[in-house]
Amino acid sequence: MINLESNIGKPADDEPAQERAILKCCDLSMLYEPGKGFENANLEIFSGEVLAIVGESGSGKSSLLKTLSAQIDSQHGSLNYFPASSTTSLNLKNISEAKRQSLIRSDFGLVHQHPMDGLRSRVSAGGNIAEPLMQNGERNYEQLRAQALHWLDAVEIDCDRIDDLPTTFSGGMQQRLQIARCLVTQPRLIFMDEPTAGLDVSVQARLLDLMRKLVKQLQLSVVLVTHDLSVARLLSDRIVVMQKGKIVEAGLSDRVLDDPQAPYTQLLVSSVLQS
Amino acid sequence: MPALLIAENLSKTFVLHNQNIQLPVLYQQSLELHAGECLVLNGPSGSGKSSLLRSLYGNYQTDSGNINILSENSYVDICHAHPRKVVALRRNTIGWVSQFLRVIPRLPAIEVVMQPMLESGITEHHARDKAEYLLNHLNVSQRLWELPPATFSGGEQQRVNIAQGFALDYPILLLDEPTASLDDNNSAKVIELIQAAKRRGAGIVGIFHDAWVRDQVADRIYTMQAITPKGKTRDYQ
Repeated sequence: MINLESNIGKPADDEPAQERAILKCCDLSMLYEPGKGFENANLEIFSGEVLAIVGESGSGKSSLLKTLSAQIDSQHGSLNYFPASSTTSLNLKNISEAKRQSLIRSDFGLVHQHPMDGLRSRVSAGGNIAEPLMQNGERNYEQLRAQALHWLDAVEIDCDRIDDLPTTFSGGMQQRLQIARCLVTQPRLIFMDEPTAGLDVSVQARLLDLMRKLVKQLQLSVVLVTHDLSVARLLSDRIVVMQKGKIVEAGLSDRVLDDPQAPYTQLLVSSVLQS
Repeated sequence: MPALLIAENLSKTFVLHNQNIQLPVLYQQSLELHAGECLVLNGPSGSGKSSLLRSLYGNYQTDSGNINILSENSYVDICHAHPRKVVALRRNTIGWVSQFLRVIPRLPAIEVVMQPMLESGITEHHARDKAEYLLNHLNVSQRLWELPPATFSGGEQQRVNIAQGFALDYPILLLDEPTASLDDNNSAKVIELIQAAKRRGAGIVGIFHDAWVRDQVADRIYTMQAITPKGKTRDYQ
């Protein structure tokens, strides 16, 4: 018989999750100048979860995202990635440039706030999706075209538009195209910086719904930077709140939003118009 | 049979830093929930019913005490568990039905109901069958099923929400005024769902505004009173 009473009442504070993180940073800092950037960030990202980083402009959330995604270096602390294929972690701070590039191409996906930052304006929509595959060595034209069509369909872009330039697309379509280009290499971890910020509300709703669906379907892990708390509530499992370069609160998304503890989070939550 | 949920000495005070206010809402609350019973939280508004219920779901953070939830033959303290663990508990162990639907843009009503089932690995075919059964049971007109609930009336949204809450057979169900603003006929349909959940062995903690609904579902009443500055008394019947 199992002793059910055995673990009742024992302190479980700071209990670690029973699963292995896929990305972990300890005391990570990157200050461009005092008060600019972020400091002492401690974070873990787990498989299949969406982590939202929220905070006002200048709180350091985008810098943190760039560092976590190995786009920029950090000054202090550690940053480790746990590849699916290996039991040992990869220290992203002491990694060769070649290895960093190949890791970003194979395991990471980036979605920028401005879609054209992540797209090539003089390449067709299909070409934009196929390009990351070509960088990873795929050469078969039929294969590339089939993949492009598949992902256009997945992000709800009419397949007839495959040969059109992204500059002829609307903002919402461009953003969906950028997501298709990001997903085609089947990354394990996706970093998104304000993906819905520049879009109309109706277009935003469609994109959010699409992102929510893809995250569940493909079991993606996502780190999402947003200043929009309703986006964080809809998409994320956990929220990290940043203020002036520091993480001031972290926890389950609905707990952080419905019962905020830190003064800054309370201010943030109470400043939002209820819909 | 071990209890499904054991809450011990829960206390909570809201600290509103920016207004410099402290609002005590829970003081030394303890309760147990067993399989097949419905425990009703009862008391005047402002007595902390909703705060207690939200704490049981991990939606509110308590200052002290613990809430042990039976999951896979051992107890997990939701007050101190890692958020990932709380997410897992909510997927398989604790269900939540409130009177308000958080609408996901564009998602048709039937898919709103199917969603928790699909996420827990039930096939689309079975999920659709069950969703149709629940929506039918709750008198949600079939012509609404393929429409997003954002434009539905309050009562219709609420019934979609209830269908979603009862879609999975959670061992523990938390109900926050599920019949508020429903007419008697539809409230009776919800009562039937609650009775069926009790029969399959679910433990239910609920807040019910209507006395007649409460009388029909309650096995035990947990009485709450607003906290006086010195602390709070409670009756446990």
